[in-house]
Amino acid sequence: MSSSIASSSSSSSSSSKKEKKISLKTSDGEVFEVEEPVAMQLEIVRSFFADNEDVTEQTVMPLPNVSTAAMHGILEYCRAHEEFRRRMPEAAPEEEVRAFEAGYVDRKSNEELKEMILAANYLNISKLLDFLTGVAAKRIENKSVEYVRAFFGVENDFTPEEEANLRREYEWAFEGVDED
Amino acid sequence: MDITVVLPEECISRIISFTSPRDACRSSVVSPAFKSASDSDAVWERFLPSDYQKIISSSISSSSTLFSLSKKDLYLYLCHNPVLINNSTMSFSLDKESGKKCYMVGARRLSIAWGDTPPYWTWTDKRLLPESRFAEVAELNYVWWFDVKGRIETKTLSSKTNYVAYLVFKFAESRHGFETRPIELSVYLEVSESKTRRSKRVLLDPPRNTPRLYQHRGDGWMEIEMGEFFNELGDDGVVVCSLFDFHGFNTIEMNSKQTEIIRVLGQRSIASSFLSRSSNPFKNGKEDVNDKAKKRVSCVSLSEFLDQKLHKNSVLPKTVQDKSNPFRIPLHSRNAGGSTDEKLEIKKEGEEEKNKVLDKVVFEQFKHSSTEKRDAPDELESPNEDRLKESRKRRNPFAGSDDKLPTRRPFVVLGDDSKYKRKGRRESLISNKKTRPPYNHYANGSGWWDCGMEGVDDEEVGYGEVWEGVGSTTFGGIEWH
Repeated sequence: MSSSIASSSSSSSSSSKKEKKISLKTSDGEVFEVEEPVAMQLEIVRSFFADNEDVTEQTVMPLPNVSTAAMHGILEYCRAHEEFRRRMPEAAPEEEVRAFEAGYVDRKSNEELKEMILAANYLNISKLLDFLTGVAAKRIENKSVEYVRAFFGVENDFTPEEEANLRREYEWAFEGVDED
Repeated sequence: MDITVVLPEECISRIISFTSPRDACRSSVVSPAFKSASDSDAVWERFLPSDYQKIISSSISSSSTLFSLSKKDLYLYLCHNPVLINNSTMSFSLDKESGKKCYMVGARRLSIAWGDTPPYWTWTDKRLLPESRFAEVAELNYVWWFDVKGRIETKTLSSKTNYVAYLVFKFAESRHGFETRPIELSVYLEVSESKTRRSKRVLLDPPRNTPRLYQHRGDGWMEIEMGEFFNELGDDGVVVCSLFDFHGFNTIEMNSKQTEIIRVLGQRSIASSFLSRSSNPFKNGKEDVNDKAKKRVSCVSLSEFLDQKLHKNSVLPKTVQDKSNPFRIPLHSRNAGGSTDEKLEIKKEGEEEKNKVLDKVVFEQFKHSSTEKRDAPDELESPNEDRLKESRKRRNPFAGSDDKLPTRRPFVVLGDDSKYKRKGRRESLISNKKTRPPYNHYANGSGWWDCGMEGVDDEEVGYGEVWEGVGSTTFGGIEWH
């Protein structure tokens, strides 16, 4: 039933001793066995296990708002940061972290990015959420209104008059906008 | 394409809060939901300076009203409406693009040499100068020693931001001196002046057909860039913006230009206003009439000035006391006599006529002093060789400055930015000052002389080196953008 991807975690050299694992089930039914320190970065998981005394290691926690694809991305990020923390408990190696994050996000399409933002928001991983929303912010910075609408898949519900008024009000904000 | 993921408003807000005020305003046009997200306090709280509450709290008038605004409205308000802080001696505003802090240091908060000595400077009530944001502006009547400094704590400025300081001023109509005397504009850290000092010499009121370095602000004032300063962490102590060797000013503004990284912050001006009128020392009394006539004429010809000075010197030294002499000599005594009346006129003019440049005189003085010695001798020599010897510094500067200024300086001085040159000049100036025994002009009450302060006995024009009369100008203040 469970396809445990967790154990094949990226270069985690720490798995010699047997670690406690936590099972997380995504919206499409896939179960991830996740090392406890990594899973505890997910605030929703941490509070679930902290608040419910009757849960055991065998309990599979359902995460109905998280897709399998998003879960892969999130676990990749959380495992990398757990690795950084394990190696340097005092202070994360900033340059390494930055290099990892840059490479990590470069591979993500806008849709994947939004999906992960949604998941990170639901899972309440504030560090990851700040990082991802910051990336999204860079992708829409200095872009036209039309570009932003397409980026977020938003319908324009303003009447033409309303939109014209707003454009007039914030005329200064429309100078020098990038080409789409 | 997959079904588009729809993010909740809180995520949209979070994303927008990582963009910029410009992007946030534009995002409000995307859709009603986006408008709600991008107008939220969560977004604009991040754009406001972290210590904005503390800053606004020091504003007597408007803090309660301001705190009732939404964060976005507050932000936009602060961009367009500078708030008076620190007992209304400074104003605070935000750069619209970046949200960086901008300040203007009002004239009352500037250190103005002789600023409280009426013949030299006059403090003009705001009622006479409605375009001033401060209660008072400083009006320069005439001065020998033009020395204005504005100070601001780097910890109050936004960090990792490149600031630019601007002098905010306006000219009185009958200004005199600023067209020929370059003024030294510098910006430096107070604790490490020698290392950080950057200065340039500028003609505030350059002759026609010469590029003008000042710009009209659109609010009745003019501004000229004094220098830049990069505020790393705000732990560099005090930044000083200095005007030196002037006759008259209106305002010094410090604006912060952001570096590439930060973008350019809006330019803000700190207005301290001074009106300076033509330069003439106090002693005008006797010679005032003549002086006035001369002054008016003299604006054009240095030789006349020199002659006048020489005459004055010869006459004044004997007759006039030490104090009186220095003033008369350096500045054109003309102004001194008529200074009061003229001042009033000037002020009005200054207010009304922003464009007119009154005073160009002072700046060049230093140069003159150094060069004057060489050049001036010829001119001066004719009048009095003894003077040259005795008051080389004093006399020469004046004579030299006057004579030379009209012709040479205008061309040379304007736009002179080279740091090296500046430094050299400064050094030379400083050295001059040092070499000459510091005479306490303040004590005399006559004016400032660094270099050539000779004994009171010396009535020679020597003082003129430092400052001849400076025409009238008004300083609004110094702005940091």
